[in-house]
Amino acid sequence: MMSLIDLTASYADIWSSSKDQLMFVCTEIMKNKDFEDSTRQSALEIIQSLAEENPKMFKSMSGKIQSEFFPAIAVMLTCCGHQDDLQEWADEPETEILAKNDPASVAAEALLEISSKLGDKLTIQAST
Amino acid sequence: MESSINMKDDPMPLLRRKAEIVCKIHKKEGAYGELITKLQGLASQPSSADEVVVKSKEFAMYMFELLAEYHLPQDLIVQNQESFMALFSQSMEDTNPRVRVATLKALTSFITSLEDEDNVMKYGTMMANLLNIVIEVLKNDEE
Repeated sequence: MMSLIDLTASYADIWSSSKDQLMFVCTEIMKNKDFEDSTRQSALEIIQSLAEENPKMFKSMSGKIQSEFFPAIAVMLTCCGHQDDLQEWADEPETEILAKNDPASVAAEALLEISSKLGDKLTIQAST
Repeated sequence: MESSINMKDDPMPLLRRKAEIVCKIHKKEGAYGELITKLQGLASQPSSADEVVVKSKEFAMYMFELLAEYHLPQDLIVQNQESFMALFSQSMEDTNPRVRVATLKALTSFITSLEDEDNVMKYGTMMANLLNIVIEVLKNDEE
């Protein structure tokens, strides 16, 4: 996954003929809670790199963003830490999202970045 | 050094260490032509269940991955572009999953090392197959 992040960050255009498949693969990984957090976060990072390096290509997938990406990031956003142990959750010190590394915090930060590339209209359209 | 490489008896971790040493030697000498030819020979063998063949191909792909990281000269890459592309395409279709995974790593490392974007884009047609290997690897990990 790391090599795909590097590849996308360096040459996002290389996905132009397989961008839909890339989106499908990454979002399926993001949604699958059986994968390790780091794998799911790497899948999100690939999409984030694509949005940052080639916003035009990313925006051209508005249908996929709505039907695949936003549902997948929603799954990550709702991955609560300590969901089986409320006391542990209560005892955890408050931390800024940027300083956290759990799926929900990483997803929140990525969503912020990706939305800035998508623009207001497409973000609202895709997330509703 | 290269004569000490024993595909039959050396375990893969040892072969990897030897590959690293061979690459460092060639980097120091700045001569890659003969090495590339040998690697192409190893990697282009037909698919086989024979462990020696599988290890040879894994070894060759690991070497390509390392060479890409060591910044293989761009003129050498351009000169061998067609044969590299054919080699990677063939290896991605190999019947052995270990060879396919080694090819995935080598190919991504190789493409990232390219400096000319036009050359990079020539590999775009391989990305769908590459994603299929990613899916396969993740499914196996999940199991």
